[in-house]
Amino acid sequence: MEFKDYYALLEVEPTADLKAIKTAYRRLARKYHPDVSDEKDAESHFKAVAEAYEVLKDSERRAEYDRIRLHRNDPRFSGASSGFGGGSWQHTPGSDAEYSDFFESVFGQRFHSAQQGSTRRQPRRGEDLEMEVPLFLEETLAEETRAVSYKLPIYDALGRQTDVKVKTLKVKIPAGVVEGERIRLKGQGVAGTQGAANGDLYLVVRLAPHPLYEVAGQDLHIIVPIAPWEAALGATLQVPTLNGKIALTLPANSQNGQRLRIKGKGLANKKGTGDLYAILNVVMPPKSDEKASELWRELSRQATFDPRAAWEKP
Amino acid sequence: MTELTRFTVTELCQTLEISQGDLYEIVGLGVISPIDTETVWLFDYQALCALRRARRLQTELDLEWAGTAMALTLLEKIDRLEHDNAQLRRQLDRLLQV
Repeated sequence: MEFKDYYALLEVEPTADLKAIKTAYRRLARKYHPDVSDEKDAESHFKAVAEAYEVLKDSERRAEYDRIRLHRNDPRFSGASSGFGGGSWQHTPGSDAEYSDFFESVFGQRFHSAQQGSTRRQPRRGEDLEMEVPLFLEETLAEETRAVSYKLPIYDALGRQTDVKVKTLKVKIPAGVVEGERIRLKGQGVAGTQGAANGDLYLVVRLAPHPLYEVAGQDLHIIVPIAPWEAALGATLQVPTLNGKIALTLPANSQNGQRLRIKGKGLANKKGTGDLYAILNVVMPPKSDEKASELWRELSRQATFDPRAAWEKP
Repeated sequence: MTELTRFTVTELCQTLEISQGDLYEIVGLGVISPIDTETVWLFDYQALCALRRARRLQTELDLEWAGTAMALTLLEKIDRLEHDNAQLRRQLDRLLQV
């Protein structure tokens, strides 16, 4: 079992007072907290720092740790606790905290008992679990049946994780789900203790980026490439929607970037039905042959249009 | 199997092990809101998630609730900006690829 130097982890001297320890923890927690950090391995850094703080903020635990620290090079120390493989983390439900083997072997039993004494004597509802379900946009149009597999942690009476069971469920995902929507599967989370209810499993919908459409609320946006003469003269185009192609009438003198609304061809859900917006993108042919070049030259001779007229204004 | 979920004040407090006083402060700070403030307070699952995240940040970063609310506001803003940024990049790629 590897000895943990909690003072080094918190970057404080072994003589540091509680205030210095608290400040160091707050600084490092801000640096490594997975919700706010961009650092590499932020999560494992944070866990290590949180564990160090858990020990050093408590005078009794700190005193015991200091005794062990004093004798850490004593050969008898390494034999004092046995049976641990090193490197693995234990999970404590409710607290979201995981501790190293070192912590578990020195403080684990009393720590978990104390936790149980304070909060776990009464029946306790099981933890909720959450997992992401990736869906293609097309799969949100109708009810979708999915098999989802997830890991269900099993805990002993002291609240220590003893096992992990892989569970598979067949789930109906209702039509019209949106990005980030959560689907509750009642009672499929972690088991409750002493007859209390199980936690729930929540599926979080994640829409895969679509090659053609961007989703904006209930509306869809599609970029429609058009030729310069289609923009100038108008045209009827076939535009793909989520349920088949539709004819779009392009008015004469359409502009690059112009948005045309195709009503009711967005996403449908309980809030209503969105629209599809066609965003025009005028595209030049990659190259012109001699005949086409002559036609452009002819147009250039006739036209009085100055696309940079705005630059001339003060 | 799927259903819309509603949580009472008591359920939220028990699930996340916070006091009712703390919950009122969190609602007061605007971190979460009940579905309808006129009747009995009920919260949806999004509120439970926001509260769980708030609770985690508050404990793990050793923050006051007001500081937690500020951190959450900024994190949500970053999430939104990152989402918009990714969407605009994809649109720009489509415009430039053609």
